[in-house]
Amino acid sequence: MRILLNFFIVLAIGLMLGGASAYFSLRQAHGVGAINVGPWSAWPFVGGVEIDPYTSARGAANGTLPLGAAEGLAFEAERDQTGDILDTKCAYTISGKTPPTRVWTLAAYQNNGTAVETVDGRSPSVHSGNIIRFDDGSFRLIAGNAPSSGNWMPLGGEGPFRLILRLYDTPITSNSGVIAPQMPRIEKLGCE
Amino acid sequence: MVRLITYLGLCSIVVAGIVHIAVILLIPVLGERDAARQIIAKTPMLEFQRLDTATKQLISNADPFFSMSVCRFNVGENGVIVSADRMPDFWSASIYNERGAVIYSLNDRTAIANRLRLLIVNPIQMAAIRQLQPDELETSIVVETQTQQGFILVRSFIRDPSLAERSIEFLQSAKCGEYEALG
Repeated sequence: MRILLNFFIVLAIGLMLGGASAYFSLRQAHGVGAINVGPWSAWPFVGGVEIDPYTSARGAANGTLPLGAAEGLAFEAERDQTGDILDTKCAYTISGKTPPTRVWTLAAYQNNGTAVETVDGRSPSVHSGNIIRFDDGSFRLIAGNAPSSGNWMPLGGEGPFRLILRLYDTPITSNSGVIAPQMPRIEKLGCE
Repeated sequence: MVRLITYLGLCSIVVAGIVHIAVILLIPVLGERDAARQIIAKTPMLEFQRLDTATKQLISNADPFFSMSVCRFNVGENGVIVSADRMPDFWSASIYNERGAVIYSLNDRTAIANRLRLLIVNPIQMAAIRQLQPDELETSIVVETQTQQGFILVRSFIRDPSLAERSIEFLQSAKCGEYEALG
């Protein structure tokens, strides 16, 4: 009887610890196999056949399909520069430069994998061809519910969101060392 | 008592480790949201199907500036040939195996003459192609793969909504079929 009780205690603790650690290792943005630049994380080896089990499990759990190395590289952020979780109730400035690339796109997603729903149905997204830049090639855009002058990316709804910056046809996927690339900063302006 | 608790604790950690590894390895096998699995279950064989707003749900976090088209294939006896018309703006394509890992990828600049022309073959068919030297060798990228089943996903950039037509025409021009020359 005593042995059986011990057995179940061990089993219960084991299942809880094992399940929780697996869940958190996949949920964490700065997960296994990632390269991290500020709040941004990318999984450069996500496309390969030698994909590590964590990255593979992460893709399967999220329902995403990786970009091939010749296609580009996707960077995800779910926190701002100071480490606070991105929230659609807040406004953010996203500013700086991106690594060299032919085209980049930036879009905001809910955790269920669909785009953030905005008030008037605009797409919460911008790309390298439809924003205005400074003379040095850097840019500054504001993401938030309220329309703003300059580059604006609409947000809406409630709750956390994630930003995905996709670099298409970028040389950084071909230098396997992946020198920490320059990525835009995400700074909170304020919340409603 | 202390010895018993230490013993139980150690056992729990071992069990936790086994559970952790099992969960990580089983998610791709049992997960229901897996995009590759959904594509294989819901798209026709050897026929490009556009992932429009309804079927775009198959893939989470889809890029709003890209329209996509997918063709599921089985290399089979003869291999698969994929082609599409020219498209003046950025496009890219990846060949995935049935587990969703990329076997080969290309974009408009890495393609021969900026055109999507691919031959997907297994090693035996590759040997046959080397002997036959068909005309397609000059114009197509030949991808040799060990995987029998998979799918190709073509992404076409929509720079502006007014140019969406161009992307859709490009995706509609995409064809994939059995490579007859080896038949």
